[in-house]
Amino acid sequence: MSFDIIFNNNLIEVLGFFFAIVVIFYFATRINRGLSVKPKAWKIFVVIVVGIFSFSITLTFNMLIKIPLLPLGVWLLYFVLRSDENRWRTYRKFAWLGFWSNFLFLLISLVTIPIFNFVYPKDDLTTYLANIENTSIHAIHPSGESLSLDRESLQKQIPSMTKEEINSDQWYNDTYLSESSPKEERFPYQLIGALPKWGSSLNVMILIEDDGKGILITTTKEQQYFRSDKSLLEGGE
Amino acid sequence: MTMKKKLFTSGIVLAVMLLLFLVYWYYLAKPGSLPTNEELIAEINEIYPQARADVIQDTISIDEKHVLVPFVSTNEEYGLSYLVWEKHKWKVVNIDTKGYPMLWKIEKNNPDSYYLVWNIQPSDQLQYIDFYMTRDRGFRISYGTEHYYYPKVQMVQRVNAQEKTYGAMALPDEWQSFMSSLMKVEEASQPQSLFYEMPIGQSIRIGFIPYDKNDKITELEGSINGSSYTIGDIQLDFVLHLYEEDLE
Repeated sequence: MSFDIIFNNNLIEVLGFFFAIVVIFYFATRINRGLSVKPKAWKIFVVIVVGIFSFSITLTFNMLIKIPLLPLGVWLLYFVLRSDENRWRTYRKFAWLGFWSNFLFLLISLVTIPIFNFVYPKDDLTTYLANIENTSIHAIHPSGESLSLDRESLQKQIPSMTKEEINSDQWYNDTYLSESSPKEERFPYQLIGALPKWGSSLNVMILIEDDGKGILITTTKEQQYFRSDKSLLEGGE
Repeated sequence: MTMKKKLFTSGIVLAVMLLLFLVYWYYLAKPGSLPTNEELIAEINEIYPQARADVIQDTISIDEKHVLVPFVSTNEEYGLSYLVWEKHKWKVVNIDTKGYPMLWKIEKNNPDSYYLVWNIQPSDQLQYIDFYMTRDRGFRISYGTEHYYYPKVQMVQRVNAQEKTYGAMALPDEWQSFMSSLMKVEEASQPQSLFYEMPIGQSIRIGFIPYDKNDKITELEGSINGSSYTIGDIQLDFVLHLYEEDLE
């Protein structure tokens, strides 16, 4: 069952889902055309939906891939409809269409990932900071000062900020081994209120570095680190 | 229509109306007025006689359907009871005989609905409480190249407890922002499953340090070792007593 595709609801997946519906509709119409006795539309719909039910194995690579194996829905329909051979002959193809559409969903989910990465590039800051009108920062650690976000500076620098390596172990050790008391957190500010690129429905956590020139973004899959030339913060007493 | 059919149809209409009414009555209807203090005391003592509730100090409305009731027992203990409007009734869902600070999560994964609650024994000489939200610094390297860095989080909110030794407080906005963005990232990174829900936001700790009027950490000896009794659906988390070495 790949209906959960629509609940992830980023734009690309939603479009992919509707594309699948269109394809299934096309094949259902074709099957219907070849029939001498036309069943009611809602019955066709039910048969296709039931046909989708299947036993599948789930493989994990970078993503979850469900490969349908046993057409449980088709068997169920056969069991229910077999008493009348003509009736079964009418609906058989629709039931199998339901089962085969699992592979269509699988194919689409494989294709949507590279498309998503193309439309919403991971290493492009504008993917995460598409609209910064209502952004602000707040300290998440005592070493964060009472500074505010210089929105103008951020807006100006977003296109030119460069992706840099995350040296997580070194950052950790730098702070851990430092003698300063209280300890200085490398990322003591959180940036809130930024909107990601439209349709991406990305959930991210955005942190700002203590020198005001670094942005660390935590997505659901990874972290990205960007640096600017000038500080993104201003003020402070 | 035949008589039979008419009867059948009107039966269905009645059943649907009854169902709608029951849904309205048990789930949608506005909460009624709170029980009186006497009724509350009677209910607390009936549910959990060890509580020995004697005086209701206050009723603090958390929201329309959740009320915190600090009370004093006959043996001078300061406790908390938790009142929830459920199935068209105000129900006491939990009783703490001592009001050591707790985190009441009204909705499970929604930090906006989390409330710190407490009722400290006056003999503990509490002046103010510093509540903390903390998270440990950490790093992770997957497959040798994928780096993750987690900053130390330490946010504080001071609450004056000089005049009132009990209270309920929503988490500060900044805490809510951090918690909810962390939870959203964690939630979305999990494979979806109908049958199993991974706990999220587990790396965050809520703690507190109580101070007396000399700015010394107090131990709240009169407020520890209480007992609790739960009879409903409620999520209460312990709030940890922190010390200065736990902080940066």
